[in-house]
Amino acid sequence: MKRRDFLVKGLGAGFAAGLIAKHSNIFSAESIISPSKGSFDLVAVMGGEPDAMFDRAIASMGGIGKYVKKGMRVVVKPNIGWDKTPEYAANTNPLLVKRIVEHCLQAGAKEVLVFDNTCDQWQRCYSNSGIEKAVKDAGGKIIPGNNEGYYHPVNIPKGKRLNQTKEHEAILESDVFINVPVLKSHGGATLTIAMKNMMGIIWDRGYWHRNDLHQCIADFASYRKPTLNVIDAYRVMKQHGPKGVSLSDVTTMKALIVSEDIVAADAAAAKLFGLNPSDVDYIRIASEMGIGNMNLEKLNIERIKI
Amino acid sequence: MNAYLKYLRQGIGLLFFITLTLSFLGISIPIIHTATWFQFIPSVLKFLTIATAVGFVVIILLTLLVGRVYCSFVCPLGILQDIISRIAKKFRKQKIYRYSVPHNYVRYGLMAAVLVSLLSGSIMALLLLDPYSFYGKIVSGLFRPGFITANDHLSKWLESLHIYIAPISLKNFSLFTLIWSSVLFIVIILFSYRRGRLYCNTICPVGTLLGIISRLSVFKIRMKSSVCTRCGKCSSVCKSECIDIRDQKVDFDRCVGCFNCLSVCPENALTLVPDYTRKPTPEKETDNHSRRLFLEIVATGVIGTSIAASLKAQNHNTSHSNKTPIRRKHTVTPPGSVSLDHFTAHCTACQLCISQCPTHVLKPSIREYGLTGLLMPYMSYSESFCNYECTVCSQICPTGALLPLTVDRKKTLQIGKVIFIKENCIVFTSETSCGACAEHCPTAAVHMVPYKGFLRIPETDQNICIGCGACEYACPASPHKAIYVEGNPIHLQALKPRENTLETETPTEFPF
Repeated sequence: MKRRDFLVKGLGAGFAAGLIAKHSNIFSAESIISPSKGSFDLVAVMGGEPDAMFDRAIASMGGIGKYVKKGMRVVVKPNIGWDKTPEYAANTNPLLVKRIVEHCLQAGAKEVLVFDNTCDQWQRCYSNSGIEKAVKDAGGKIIPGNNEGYYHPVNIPKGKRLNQTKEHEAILESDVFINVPVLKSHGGATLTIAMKNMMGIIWDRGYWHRNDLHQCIADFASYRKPTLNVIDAYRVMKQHGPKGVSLSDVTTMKALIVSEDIVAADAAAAKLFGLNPSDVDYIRIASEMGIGNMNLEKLNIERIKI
Repeated sequence: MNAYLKYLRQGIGLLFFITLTLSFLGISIPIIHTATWFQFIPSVLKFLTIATAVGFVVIILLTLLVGRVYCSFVCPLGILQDIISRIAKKFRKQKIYRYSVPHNYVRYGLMAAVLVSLLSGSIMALLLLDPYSFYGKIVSGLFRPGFITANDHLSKWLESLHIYIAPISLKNFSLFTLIWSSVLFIVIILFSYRRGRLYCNTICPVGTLLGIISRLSVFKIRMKSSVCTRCGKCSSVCKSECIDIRDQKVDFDRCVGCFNCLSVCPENALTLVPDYTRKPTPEKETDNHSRRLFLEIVATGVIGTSIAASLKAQNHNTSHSNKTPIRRKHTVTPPGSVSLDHFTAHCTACQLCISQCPTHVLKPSIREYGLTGLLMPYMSYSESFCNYECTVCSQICPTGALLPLTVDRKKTLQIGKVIFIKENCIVFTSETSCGACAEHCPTAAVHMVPYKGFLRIPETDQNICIGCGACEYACPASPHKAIYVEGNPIHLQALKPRENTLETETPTEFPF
């Protein structure tokens, strides 16, 4: 073996060993929970840290492997709308985002992309929310969402007020779309949860605001159905939402809701917040349109307390 | 030794030039503060409010030592002309420079005009003639839109290959600024294409002022007539066209300190030497002549001051009484600008804050401040709004038109006040939910209150409003927005956002 070959191969082997070591650290035995059969419509967890709650919830849903297969392209869409640090609960908890990205990659995802069409200046949002770092640490890719060029027209056949909008190409090209909103109060929409979070994957939000916001939110949900909805209610902004003013707007709830049914997920989150699902107009409309079920009594719910 | 001076000039010059150029393109460069601290006119203006801004004193001392090196080492417009003439050399027929006589009437006339304008309290002349700001306008107004568009196309194309680079998005683009900057760029090309530093020695007031100061320089470039063979090499590389081979003299007034001549002289006849010997030579006569000329022009100018001042007073009156169709009574000035008066008296419209603003909320004005405030930045909320925790513009302003702010100060600094027009609001006109304004408000100065049934409508509290314009930007009502910011002609202190403690209890059991 030539000296040069030896060096090259040696380096390569060392690098590979390092990689294996790194990843095996992340998924140490204690964090892997063997998946259940996953026959639940909705799983709600309370009392744990964001990452631990997700581990329990996804196991009850049947494991991440139920949704993410080897070689798939995954988009994780948290709320990164605001230039605020995590304790203000204006954005999705970065620990939760990190954990979801890790799970997807472990399930063999080809790549995991994360983005939001932010309200505040996007680079400041990505950085100060802690989500950019969380995604990079987990091995995912955080991509920009602030350029109209990324958005392509899509039709919404069942829409009543919203028939066409422009959607981010990362979503259009994805195999799996995991919607990860944070539960917050909202001056215009009453609450912002999973359906409202999808305003971050389209371009012209002004159109929705001009043309019956609640109806447009429901209309879009009739077209785009996330593979999975994971609602962060670890910290919850109870007033002055969705941006919030001070820490006095925030309460620590330590809760998490996971469901494939976006309407059910929003309904359960509304309950957690202290409202009836029908108090939030878009939840009522979406349920009436048959997009999902807001009637929680009719669902098979797993409740986990940590 | 002689050749090293030229390389030193090129090295330092490029460092200033690249730093300033990238900054004007909108890229964040840490050493920008140093690069602007030495800019002559901005430093003088900043010194009026901040006593530590003494960059111009350093420049004057440097000029007293070795002449107008500012023009070749520090001034971005000067270096731009060097680059243009270097490129032009490949295309033009005449490859060399020749000695030319100075245009003293124009030089001193323009400098006097600047003084007159300043004495009468108007910054108009500097707005047009400060070389640093001149360069800023060219890059920010002309090259920045191109740079951003190219970056964003590249970013879009790379995205299709799954490579992600940050797009910038051109917001608050101004076609007028693009045209204006193009004209400035063409002017500079025309001046420097054949004639090197003709602009610096004819138009530029800083060049003229430093030229006068350089007469007292300790070190000057002098020609030893005993050694000189009149080969003309020095003159042929002199961009200032100030080496007179026939009389074997260097017009040091017009020398920009590029040191090209020193590096080409085969006989070392040209040297940078201490100029102790001030004998009464024929030189003295010309000195006297130009001094008299200068004094004459200044005197004429001072007489003109009163006329200009009275004219300005009239203009002032008309601009106040003459209400434009714009609904805003006062343009919103950037945070840190203290007041409309302070701002318009110190800004040279260099465009640095406009280039560096991360949200692109700053836009060059056309009519907002009147003709005397052309291209000064104002807060334009049609395409963006001011970030709550950002103080970039106030930190970066080189002239003191914007004074530095801390983030805490900025959060309660009221640059304008919110005004809600209910009859334009979507909740009122369509009776559907909206709340986009309240959604974006960082202080809850705009918040939603119960209206009809489920509906909630905006309510405003001017006391805690800081005038960031988030509500105005977000308002989707068309064609007229239902909420906007009225500028504060003098910036005020807003109250801190209210903190009301939560009354609801956090659930400990699942409510479903």
